[in-house]
Amino acid sequence: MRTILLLIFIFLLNLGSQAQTIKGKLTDSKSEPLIGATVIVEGTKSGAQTDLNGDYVISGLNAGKYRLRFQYVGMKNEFKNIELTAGQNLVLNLSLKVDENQLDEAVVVGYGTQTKREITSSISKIGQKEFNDLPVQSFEQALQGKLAGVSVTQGSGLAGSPSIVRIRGISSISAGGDPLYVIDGIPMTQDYGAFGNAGGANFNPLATINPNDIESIEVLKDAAATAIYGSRGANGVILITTKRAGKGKTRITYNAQMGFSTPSARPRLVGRDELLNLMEEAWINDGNTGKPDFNKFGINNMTWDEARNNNTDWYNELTQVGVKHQHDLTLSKGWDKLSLYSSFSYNKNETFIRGNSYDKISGRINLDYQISKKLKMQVGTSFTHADNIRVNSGWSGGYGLLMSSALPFYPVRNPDGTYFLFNNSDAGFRTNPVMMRDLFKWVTNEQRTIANMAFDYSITDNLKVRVQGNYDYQNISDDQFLPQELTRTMGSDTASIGVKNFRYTNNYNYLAQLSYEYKINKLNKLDFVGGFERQQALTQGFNIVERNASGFLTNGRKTDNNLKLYIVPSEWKFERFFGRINFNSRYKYFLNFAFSYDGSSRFGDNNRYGFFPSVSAGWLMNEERFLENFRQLSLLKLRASYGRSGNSDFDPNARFGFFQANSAITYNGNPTLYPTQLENPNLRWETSWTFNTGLDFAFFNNKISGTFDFYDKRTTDVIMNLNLDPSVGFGNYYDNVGAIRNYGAEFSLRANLIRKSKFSWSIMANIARNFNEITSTGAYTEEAVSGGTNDTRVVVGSPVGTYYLVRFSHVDPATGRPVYLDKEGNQTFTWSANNRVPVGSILPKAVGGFTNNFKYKNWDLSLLFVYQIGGNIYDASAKRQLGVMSFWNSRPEIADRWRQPGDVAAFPRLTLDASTYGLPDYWQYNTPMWLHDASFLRLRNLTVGYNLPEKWAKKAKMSSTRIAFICTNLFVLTSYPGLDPEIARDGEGNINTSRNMQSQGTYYLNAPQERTYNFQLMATF
Amino acid sequence: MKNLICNIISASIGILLVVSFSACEKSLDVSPDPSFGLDPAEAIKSSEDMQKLLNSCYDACANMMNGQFQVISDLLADDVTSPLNNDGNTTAIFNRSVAQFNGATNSAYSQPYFTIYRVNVMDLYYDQVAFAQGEKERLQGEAAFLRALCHFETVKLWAQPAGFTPDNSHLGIIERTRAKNEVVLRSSVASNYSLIVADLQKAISLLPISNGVFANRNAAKALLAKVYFTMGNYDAALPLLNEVIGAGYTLSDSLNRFNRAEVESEIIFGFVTTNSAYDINTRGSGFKGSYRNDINIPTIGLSAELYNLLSSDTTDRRSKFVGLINAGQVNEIKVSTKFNLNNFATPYLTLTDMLLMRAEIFAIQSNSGAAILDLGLIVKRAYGETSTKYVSLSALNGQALIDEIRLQRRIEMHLEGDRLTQLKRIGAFHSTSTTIRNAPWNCPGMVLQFPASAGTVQGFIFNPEGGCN
Repeated sequence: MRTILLLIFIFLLNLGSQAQTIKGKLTDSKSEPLIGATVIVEGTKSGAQTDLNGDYVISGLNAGKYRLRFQYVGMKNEFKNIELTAGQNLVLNLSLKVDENQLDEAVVVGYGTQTKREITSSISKIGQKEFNDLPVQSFEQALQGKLAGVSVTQGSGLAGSPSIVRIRGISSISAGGDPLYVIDGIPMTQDYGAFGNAGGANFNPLATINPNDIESIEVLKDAAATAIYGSRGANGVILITTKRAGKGKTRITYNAQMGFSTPSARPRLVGRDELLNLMEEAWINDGNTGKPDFNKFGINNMTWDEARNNNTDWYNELTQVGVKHQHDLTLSKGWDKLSLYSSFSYNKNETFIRGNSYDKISGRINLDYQISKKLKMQVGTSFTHADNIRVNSGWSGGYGLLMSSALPFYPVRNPDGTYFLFNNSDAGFRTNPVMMRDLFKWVTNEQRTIANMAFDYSITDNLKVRVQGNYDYQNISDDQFLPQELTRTMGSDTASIGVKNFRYTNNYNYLAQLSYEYKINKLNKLDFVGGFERQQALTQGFNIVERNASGFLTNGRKTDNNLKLYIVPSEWKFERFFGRINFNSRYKYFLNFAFSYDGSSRFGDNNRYGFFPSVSAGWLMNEERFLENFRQLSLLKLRASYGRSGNSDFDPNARFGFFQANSAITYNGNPTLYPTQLENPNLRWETSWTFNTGLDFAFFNNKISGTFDFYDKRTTDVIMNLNLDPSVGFGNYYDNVGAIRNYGAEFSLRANLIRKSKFSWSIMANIARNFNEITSTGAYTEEAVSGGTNDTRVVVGSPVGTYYLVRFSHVDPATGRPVYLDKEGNQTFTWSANNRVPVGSILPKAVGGFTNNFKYKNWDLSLLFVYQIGGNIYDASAKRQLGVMSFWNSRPEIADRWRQPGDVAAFPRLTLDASTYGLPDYWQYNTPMWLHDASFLRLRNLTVGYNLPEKWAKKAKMSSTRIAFICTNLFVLTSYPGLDPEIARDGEGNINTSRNMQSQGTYYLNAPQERTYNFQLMATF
Repeated sequence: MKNLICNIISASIGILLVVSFSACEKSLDVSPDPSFGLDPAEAIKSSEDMQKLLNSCYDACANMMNGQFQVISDLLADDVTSPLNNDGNTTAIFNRSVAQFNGATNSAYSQPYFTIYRVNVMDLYYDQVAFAQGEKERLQGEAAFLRALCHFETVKLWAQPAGFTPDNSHLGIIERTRAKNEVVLRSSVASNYSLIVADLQKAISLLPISNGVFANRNAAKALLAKVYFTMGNYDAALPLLNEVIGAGYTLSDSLNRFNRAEVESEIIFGFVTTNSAYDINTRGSGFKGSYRNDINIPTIGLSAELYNLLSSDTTDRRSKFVGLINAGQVNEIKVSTKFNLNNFATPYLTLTDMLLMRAEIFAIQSNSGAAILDLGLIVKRAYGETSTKYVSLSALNGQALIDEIRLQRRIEMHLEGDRLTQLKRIGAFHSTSTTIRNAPWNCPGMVLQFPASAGTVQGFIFNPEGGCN
């Protein structure tokens, strides 16, 4: 109606002048009419929309020169320069081409979708194709190297080892540093510390998500994108959308992968004879004579003479070639009103560590039902059962002992067939790892279901309401059985012991959301989204220890024979109002305002609610006339945003103070009551203000495209689990302390270098440079928070996870003793904690990846390289392997050691006495001697694939078939002398703090990543 | 535009409807499960609760004195060997090179402050709870006694001793007198001892004469006497010792000092135990973990010097406490059997201790007769009334008498954490050339370093390290 009025108005204005018209038909490449396409006469108020036949008419124009723009969603804009003569009726038919720049591809943005054209914030997307070729244990591993600014440090080769995912650096200390994962609308339960770091590993809450079910992953990076997630978006948001069926015939897909797992590196250790020589040298250096006394080394189950009777290869004893296979079967079918996606997956995943595997069965059903013209229902549910068959690793034994106290002269078994006991008194290193693996039975099984139901109702064409409910249920049972043979030898008990640690979490949310689209006129429109969301989660569980158990405890019942203790329930609630307004003007100017008003039970009444707004704008510059002569330019879009987001991912009970009345803890049989936690009723949101500006560009008809972003994120009220001065009476205390700044730039590029019918070559590359700095720790010193085991601290002016060590100068040629530097740089033989200074950081300078895809006829080759530039690895194992001689094995580097006066050597004289090195004890040998550049370049993935010709597939009644050979971690280039430069060490103590400040760069006896060789068959029927 | 307004209104109503069903001011309240703990505002409502809180103070104090403090003290002195298991933490203590990251000493440092915090929490409730007559005073007295005990044991290990400077202006420990998370820096040793003395004087004024196995007035007097003795203030200690020794305690014939039933008559104050699994696991666990040798290899052995002292005279009944493992072999270990127990009741203030302190004071004051009388009681019990040792005591005087008293103290209370305190006192007040395992009594490493976490707050001053080897 308004169009007609406008035309009448224009007609009246031009009354008296001669009439000219332009008319024509707009079609697509298949000559189908484009309905509702827009034709704009630039520089005038004239224009038209095409009708049901794709026809348009523009009249009332004066004679003259004009530039016409033809645009349609999903199509590339076309421009025509014309000259109208008086009385001319110009006919201009046009066929629009599909926009290969995919500017109008839908992108999930949280509580809705937008087109790429409309997006004003920093969002990266990865589609299902990216997952197919990657044999990953957990889906987040597949993100590595593919998205600028998304750093994924993969876990170790241990089954179920979690990765560390960081988006644009790290802005938290003791609150979670991981992004918020939202799967089909539900923020997932993601507790990496469900069982602490038992066995040298944290828990991976993401492992039960089946990568094969994922349609796309969107990563929201800046505040404009994450603000709608308010207080939970500060570390970025990862939106996971699962697959749904489209309309059409039945489609069945079978995807099978079979392969092998081997370690990506083998530990380098000295052999038996060399180790004994080293021990003897240390013995003599210390002024002793005669045969070394093994007791002085902490070895008390063997004499020096007996040592040469054995030569065990512990590596072979503890490793294997692991077998892997995975089978995914999916069925999708769409009817008129109903569409169904279902999947079933089985995954058997042995690692290269003997006795260790991760097995998983999962299924998913997604249903879409159009109940009526206005009402649509979506239902989705998944179920996963996973068994993690566990072994000790890292500091806890197993593979970790291989690099420490499993000495080559120890036999696996005694002559009588019983297991040889290491029997030194350092509890973590006393157990024969083969005995432990053979006798100690341990499985962590997880069952998880994630379900959602949503109703979409169209009140009018423009006004829609969505009501959605989601449920995420997770139960984890950690079962252990220690038979008598083991408990007896460990000396802890004489009975067999069964242990069951059980946790279950009910996490649900629901939301009501309204969206409204208001078209102001042909060229301007507003989109509104607003709603309310509520989420709550409750984790409960218990621990049972039963003596004289006959195996795993099959149920959680309390009996006369067991001790059952319920864990402290952890409950939190969360609710919020959110809203977003998008203004789209002329399809090239975009303005966005979003907010979230959040409330959380983690805070007291005084700080319960927080407001998180953002504003952003985008300008599609290539559609401006002043750039029309830059024919090579396919896209140029400028974006900018500013907003606030928060983080409240920390212990839900942190704000409370507690007293404990404990009947088991008595004095003289009398009951006790005592404080256990110091309250902080003033805890408040950790908040970040982020500025972001970006440029999206494409050249040469989109052959080359890319994105550049710059951001500056300033976080205040950083939540820290402070180390309290012990004289306060408590060990730790949560408080909002200090500030952190992250700023940096990201660049990603995609180039289709060759695009021929038989051969193509494309490259995708990205790099992200982040600067991280703690700008304040309030009234506290560097000791306020430690990353664990004396290595990293919070240092103002340095990054999060700064190594704080006493500098090493050189080995004194005269004495062979190590020379350190004090704070002023003076040389000293004494190591003192007072001389610690910042010397490095866990955080890399830059991370990224690049992919080369080649296609020749039906063959394809894909190479994914990932890399890291800068950052440091602290090899905490080396201070024992290359430090004071004890009951640990040594490494070949020790050859470069001081032996006699005048020697210039990398390592000091061998000794059994820590004081020779000026150390208080051998654990304190914390110096940059063990600090290494963490840069690496890794061939993460190599895939060679072959798609069967269509006619062959059809003969087999398949629509397509693909076979592929996939290798992971074929090689890594690095100067790091240890096993693997990519480190995700288990977090210890406060898991958040440890993962933020230590895990990414501190190495301690971890297993390396695995190298896998896989064969893939994918068939679609 | 009209449609827009209508739609916005509809939307707003819709949202409000949903919200009104969902949200309210209290909807985000969560109450932590009572199994986790009690709200501080609800935890203490009666005198029974206060008694339970006090019980926890005793418990925490007993944990601290379960051998942890005593073993650390003896590792610094000369009665034990370097740890046999090559353990980094305890070896560093033995080497007098404790730094900020010593797990053993850091764990120990936090222990006394658990008790001190709880005592200070009690201060918040005395005026809010109804008590029976005399109950409040008793609780206050016991609390003051325990706070003094904890400050006293801490200052002995983490600061140079009284007498290190003439006015004790050297740095002591942090004094905590309020249950509050506030920045408090180290005070001087003079200030530390003033607080300890004040707390004990308060305890003396408030505690009953008799109080079962808990601290009573004599316990406070005995501890104050010990504090004065450690400070070298013998004049102040003596009258208190006279009062306590004259209060009716008698020496037991048994020498099994950790078996309360056998030595009850001489216990002025000690930590008790029951047969509960908790007590068996905790009481004495520090001693057991280091010295017990009947069911496993101990991690710390006796020094040759102490072994010889204990074993050289077989007429000394206390010689039964020594033994050898792998006798005659390269890996021979000298051990004390004193700690081969399952159930420990750690004595803290005993008549033996009081007698030996008074004897030394008398001897220092040249009152040999009185000194020999007190010493004689100890010697008689050990060697017998007819023994040469006992009979010849009367010939002693001057420094020889003092030395004998100190020797008997060393033997009688061996591995109970007393030796270091005595050597430092002797160094500070009597013989500045005193050495402890070839190191000056006042070398920096003879004092434990504070944990790094003590330096969390600005302005904290750590102890100097090393300098003893």
